[in-house]
Amino acid sequence: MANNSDVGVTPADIREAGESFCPRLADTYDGWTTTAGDTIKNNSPSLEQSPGGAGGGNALGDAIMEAQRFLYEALEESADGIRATGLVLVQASENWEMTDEQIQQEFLEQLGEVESGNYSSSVHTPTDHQDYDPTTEVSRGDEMTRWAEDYQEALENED
Amino acid sequence: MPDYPDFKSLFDSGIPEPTEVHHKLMDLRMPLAGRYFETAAAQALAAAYEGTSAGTRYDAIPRKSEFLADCFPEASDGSLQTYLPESLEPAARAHALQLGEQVLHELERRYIGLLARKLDPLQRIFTGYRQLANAMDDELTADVDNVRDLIRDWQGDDGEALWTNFGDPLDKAVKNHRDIVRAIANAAEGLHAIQSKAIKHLDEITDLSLEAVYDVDSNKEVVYALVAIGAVASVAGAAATATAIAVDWAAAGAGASVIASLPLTQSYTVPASAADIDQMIEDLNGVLDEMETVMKAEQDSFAASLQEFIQSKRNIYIDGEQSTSSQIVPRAAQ
Repeated sequence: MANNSDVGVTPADIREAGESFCPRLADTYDGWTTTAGDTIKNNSPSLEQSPGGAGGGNALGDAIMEAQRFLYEALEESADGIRATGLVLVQASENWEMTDEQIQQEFLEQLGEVESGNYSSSVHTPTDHQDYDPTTEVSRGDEMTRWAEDYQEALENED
Repeated sequence: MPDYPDFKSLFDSGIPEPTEVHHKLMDLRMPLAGRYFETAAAQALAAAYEGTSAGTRYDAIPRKSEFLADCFPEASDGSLQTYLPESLEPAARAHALQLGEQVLHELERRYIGLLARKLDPLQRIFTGYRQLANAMDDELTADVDNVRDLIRDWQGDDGEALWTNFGDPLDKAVKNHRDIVRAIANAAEGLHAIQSKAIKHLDEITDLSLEAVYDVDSNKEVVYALVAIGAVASVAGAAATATAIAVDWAAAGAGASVIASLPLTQSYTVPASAADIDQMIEDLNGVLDEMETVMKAEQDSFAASLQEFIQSKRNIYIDGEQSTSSQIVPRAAQ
């Protein structure tokens, strides 16, 4: 299996990408996730059917809510995925001879740590800031996958 | 009623506060009671004439004003009050008020439903998301480029896998997220526009009704009119269909609106008689029916178009290839 000696980049490059830029990207994504969550939470009543029944039904309000949920999950998982990738890059720079299987294994472990919300390190401490949950429990990490699978299943059932 | 070629012209003409429209509707209370006095007086007279030939004919005639003309052809001013015994007048007045209240109550119920959706939260949604989309354009470019530049030259299986699955799709992911945000902003603005149009129409319809209900003598014709977004414009009194409204959901740069320029077409007009209060109320309810139908068709159309757009992004995410799904959720490996 290939290792990482003399491969066009230096461990310092990889460490910088993993230690500086990926966490900054992930932090930015966290901020966007929070913005999206706040926007949804604070204004969603205007997208829901009023008790008396808003004129013309609520098809567009419902579609916007669905789109917002997809966006929220995409942003949240992107923050996690970028953060976990950064951690893997830092690990790779420290263990420059890691194989790609080891890198993949490391990614899965780091992603699990990030998604659990328990991760802490001197490199970066993820911000656990999410309380957007208008209807169901939302956990970091796997919600979007389950949601997309459910949606796909519903589409197939329609067919 | 004025016609509006597009949403911009409608907004430029000013959107009234829903509470103002509601108050204006309530201003119909007394003139409606006045108009229903004729009906109430006819009923009081019919009761007084019960057992006579006039009373029998009253029961068989649906329109009480026709009863008036038929039974009292000498009544030149069209008012039964001349023939109403003084003793019957208080009861007739109370009955007239009750008839007016029943009509007003039903209209108010419909108005409340049509005015229920609040504009301010919708505006906060589309301005907030538009700002977020702009931030996505502004904030990430440098960091994304830096990450990609640092890992781009990493050769070998590890580096190539990282580039294929993470580095290469990373900027596409940011653009996809920005486009989804823009789509939501545009859709929320679309709902805001539909609701604004409804408030505007209700205001105009109420103005016309108020004017007409006071105008007893002129036999004036009231014309209620509605506009609809282009694709729904073929309604013309028939069932509206939800053909997709062509919207480029991911379009628009900073602060731009794709909704404002959508064409509006007059979809429905009904000439309502101001002389016959029963017919006028029937026509008023008819125009409200049509408004709800058009709003539903517009919403269905926007919703179908938005769902199609979001589904295209969802399909990217659920693609079996990591390099593709990373365009929605960037990850080094899975």
